[in-house]
Amino acid sequence: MNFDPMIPIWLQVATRIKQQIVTGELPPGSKLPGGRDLALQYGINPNTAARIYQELEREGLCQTQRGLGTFVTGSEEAVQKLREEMARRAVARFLTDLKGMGLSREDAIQLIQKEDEPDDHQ
Amino acid sequence: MSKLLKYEIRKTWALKLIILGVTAVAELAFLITLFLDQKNHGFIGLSCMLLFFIAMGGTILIGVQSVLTLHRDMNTKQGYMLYMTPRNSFQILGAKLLENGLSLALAGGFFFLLGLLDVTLLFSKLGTLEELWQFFQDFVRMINDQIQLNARSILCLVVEMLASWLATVSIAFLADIVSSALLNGKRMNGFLAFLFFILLTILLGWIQNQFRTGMSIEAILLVRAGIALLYSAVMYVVSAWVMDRYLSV
Amino acid sequence: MITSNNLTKKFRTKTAVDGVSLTLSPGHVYAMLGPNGSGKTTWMKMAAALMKPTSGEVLYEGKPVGVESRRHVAYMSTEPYFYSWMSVKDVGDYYGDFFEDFSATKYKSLLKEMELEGAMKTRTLSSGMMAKLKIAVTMARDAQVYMLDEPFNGIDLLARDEIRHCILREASESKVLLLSSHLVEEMEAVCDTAVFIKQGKLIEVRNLEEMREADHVSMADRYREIYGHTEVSYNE
Repeated sequence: MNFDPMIPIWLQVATRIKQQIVTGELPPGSKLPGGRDLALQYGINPNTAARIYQELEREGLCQTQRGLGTFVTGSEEAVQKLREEMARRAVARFLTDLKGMGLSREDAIQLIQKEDEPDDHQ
Repeated sequence: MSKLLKYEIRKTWALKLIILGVTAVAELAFLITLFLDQKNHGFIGLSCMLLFFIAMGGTILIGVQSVLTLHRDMNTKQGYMLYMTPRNSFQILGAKLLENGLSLALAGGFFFLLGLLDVTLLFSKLGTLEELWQFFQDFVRMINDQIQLNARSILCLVVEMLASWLATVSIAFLADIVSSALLNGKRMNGFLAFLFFILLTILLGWIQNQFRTGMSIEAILLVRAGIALLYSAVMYVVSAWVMDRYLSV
Repeated sequence: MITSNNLTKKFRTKTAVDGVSLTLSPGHVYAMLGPNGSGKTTWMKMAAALMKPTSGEVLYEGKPVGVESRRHVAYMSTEPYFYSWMSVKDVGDYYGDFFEDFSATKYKSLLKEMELEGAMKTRTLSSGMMAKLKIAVTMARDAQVYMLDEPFNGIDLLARDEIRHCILREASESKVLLLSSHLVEEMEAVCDTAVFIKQGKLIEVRNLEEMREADHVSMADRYREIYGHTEVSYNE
């Protein structure tokens, strides 16, 4: 993973893990690597790795069970909420970008519909 | 300290193998001329001379190499190998001096025994030579009846020479350590260190010369050897102390 | 764990380290930063008890560094320092002979990772392989403090991941890791604290994630601010 050194590393990895939870790559209840392994996996500082789990726990997206390790939350509801939250943010970002280019909300909807038609694509 | 000693031996064994090889060649030449070509005394004499110089030169080189190794260990990156280990200067320097002392003793013993063997062979093959040797001994006794030129007194001489050489090496150690630790980067560093070396060598000679009378020549030689060993010990303690306090590698 | 108090080292013509007071605490990976000649190496050598300070002191666990601290402090210099007759295996044997915390098994597996063979002569190693060997033999120790001077020097882009991996594996709550490098980018994610040194003086000690969060600034950005634009170098 390539990091943007101007953004906190923990935030970047946490976002990546959230994406994996939302896409189902990390299904609910699945085991996450230990802090040290996470650090090695991403090539990041162990303190940063610890911070990632702290934040994910705070947001209710994972739980640490003493002696067993850290697990993705089993609550479908929490995952659904995360999905909605992330989608909402993606849309907001998208709209802001378009606005910057001088395009309206309606232009955006049109663009989405156009992009959605598979034949138009390639 | 045995680990340190092991690596000091490893650092110096190439030279010793070379000396051993050269000695073997010269000895072979001596034996061949002695057994196959007895008529040509010139060649026998030449190979004897050669062996003698190899023995002297080899022993000197062993000491010189020891000083050079210490110098490299204090003044090049290679020194980290020693000074990053949890060993103090007394152990590091002790291993070096011990290695050198043992090497000199071993080399001295080896060359002495080889010389004894060769001389015995020489006398048995060339009877006239032994008579000549007798004349020479009588002549020496005429001058000073305390001097007996036999294997025992020669052994004492060898011991005295080896001990004095060890002391010289330990003086060189101290001079080099003072140069590397205290005078490093100063002007005339090399000259001052050399001066220091000369002065300490003169001092050793002066102390040794205080014991010249009232004893047999053998006793004098042994006392001189004892003084040299004691002097080496003092040099060692001062050297290690300076190294411990002031050396940066 | 390691503290330098007012540490100063003067050479004939210049002051390499100038009154540096710095404490390195367990559980952190420090990046020691500064252009060449800013005093990083000199500070490390004094902390490794290889070099004697002109004034000031370095303490390990409250005691002046020396023979005792060398048992627990592993130092890796930039330059190669092994005896010229040594093979890769000999280097491991040497460390095994002198350091109780050295693990021959760990060394073997590190050599495998780094694609080094025991029979290779150190004399004939390329600079990249020599750099890997130094890392392998140093990290095969179970030391309390690791000080690595320029661990990424001479190591190509692909192998840097291996080195990072190897360093991170030893990071733990009870240990101190200190890395110096002019390849600032390599250390952004690995280190948590940056120590900036300029002309022998300590400029500041910063937590990197805090810096990113609060000022939206990377270690390399801060480096540029402190030292000017010319001196940062990315990937050689």
